[in-house]
Amino acid sequence: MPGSSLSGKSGSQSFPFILAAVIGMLLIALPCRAHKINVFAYVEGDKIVVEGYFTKDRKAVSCAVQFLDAQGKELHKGKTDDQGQYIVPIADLGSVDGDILITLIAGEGHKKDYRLSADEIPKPTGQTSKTSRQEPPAPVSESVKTTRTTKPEIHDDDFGALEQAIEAIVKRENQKIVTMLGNQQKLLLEQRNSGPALKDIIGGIGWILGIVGVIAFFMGRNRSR
Amino acid sequence: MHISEGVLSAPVLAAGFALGAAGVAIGLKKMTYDRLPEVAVLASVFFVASLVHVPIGPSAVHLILPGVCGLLLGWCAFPAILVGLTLQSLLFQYGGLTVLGTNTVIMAFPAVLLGLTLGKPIRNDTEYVRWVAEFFCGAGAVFLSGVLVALVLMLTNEAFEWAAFAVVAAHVPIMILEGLITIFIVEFLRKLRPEMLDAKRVKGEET
Repeated sequence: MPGSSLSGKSGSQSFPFILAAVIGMLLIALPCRAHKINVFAYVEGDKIVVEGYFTKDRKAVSCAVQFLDAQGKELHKGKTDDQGQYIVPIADLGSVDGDILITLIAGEGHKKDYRLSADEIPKPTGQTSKTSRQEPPAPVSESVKTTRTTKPEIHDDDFGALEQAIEAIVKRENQKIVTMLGNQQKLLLEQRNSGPALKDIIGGIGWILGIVGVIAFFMGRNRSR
Repeated sequence: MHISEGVLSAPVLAAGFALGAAGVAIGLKKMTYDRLPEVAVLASVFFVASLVHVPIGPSAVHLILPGVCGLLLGWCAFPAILVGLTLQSLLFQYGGLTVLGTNTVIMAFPAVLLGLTLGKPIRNDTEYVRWVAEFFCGAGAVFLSGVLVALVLMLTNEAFEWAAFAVVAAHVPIMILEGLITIFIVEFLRKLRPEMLDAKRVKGEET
C-alpha cells in the first residue's frame, strides 16, 4: 500500500492531538441519560419505600411511580423526590391481596417494573389490631374506674390497661428493628441491582468466544468436507 | 440507547424482529470463516463498550461504538450487535428479549449504512478527508440510532410526539465522543492492520 506509509507518518503526528481531544471531550461531556434504569421497593414498618436510580450516584429524580395490584388495577400514583425515593404508607394503597407491581416511568422509553411480593407486605394488622384493641378497653376502663374507687391497689382487671401499655412499648421498640430490617433489605437489594461487575463483563466476552467457537466448528467442518 | 421491555406495541416489535432477522441473515451470509474472529472481537467490543461507564461528575457516560462495527464489519455488524445486545439483556437486563429485534435494528442499521457509504472517503489518502468521514461515521451512527429510537417511540404511542427527539439531543456529547474515538481507532487500525479496512473484505465480496 503506497499511501499507508505516508499516512502512517502523519497519523503518528496526529496521535497526541486525537488523544488530547478525546480526553478533553471526556472531561467536558455533559451528563447524559444512562439507559438502564433500576427500581426496587421494600417495606419499612408500615410504609413502602420505592427507590429508582440510573447509576449508583444518579437517582431517578421526579419520575412517575405507579402502583398496580395483581389484576392491573391502579392503586396509587406518585412522583419520586430529589433522592429518587417515593414513600407511601401501606394503608394508602387500600386493601391489597396479592403482589404489588411498582412501575417507575422515566420517559424516553425507559420504564422498569418491580414486583413486591405479597408475603413482603404486612397485612394491614395496624387496623385490625387497632380495632381489636379498641374493643376491650371499654369494659376495662370501666372496671378500672370501679376498682379505683374501691381499691387503689393493682387489681386483676388492671391487666387490660397494663397489656395496652406493654403493647405500645413493644411496638415502639419493634419499630427500631423494623427500620433496621428495612435498611438491611435495602442493602441487599442494592447489591443485587448494582451495575455490571467485572466478572460479568469478562463472562460475557467468554460467551461471545464460545458462540464463535461453535460457529467456527461447524463452518470449519463444512470447509474440510 | 436501548428501549426497555413493555414500552413498544406488538406491531412495532414484530416489525423489529422481521427487519432484524433480515439484517442478521444477510450478515450471516456474508460472514466467511476468515472473518469470524474479527466479528467476534467487534461483538465483544460492542458488548463491553456500553458496559464500561466512565464516571464524569455526578453522571456517567459510556461508549456504544456502532460506527466502528459498521465500518469494519459491513453487514456482519448485524449478527455482531445482535450477540452483544442479547448478552447484555440476558446478563444485565439491559433492554429485553422481546425488544431485541427492534434494538438490533436501531443499533445495527445506521452502523451498516454509514459503514458502507462512508467506506470510500475513509480509504482516501488525504488525512483530513479521512478524519471527517471517520468522525461522521462514529457520530452519525449514534445520531441515526437516536432518530430511530424516537421514530419507534412515536410509532408506538402518539403521546410521545416530538418530545421523543429529546433522546437525540441527550446523546450529542456521546456523538462527539464517538466521532473522535472512531477517528482514533480507525487511524490506529490503518497503520497496524490496513487489510481490515479493505473495501471488498468489509462488503463481504471477498471469496
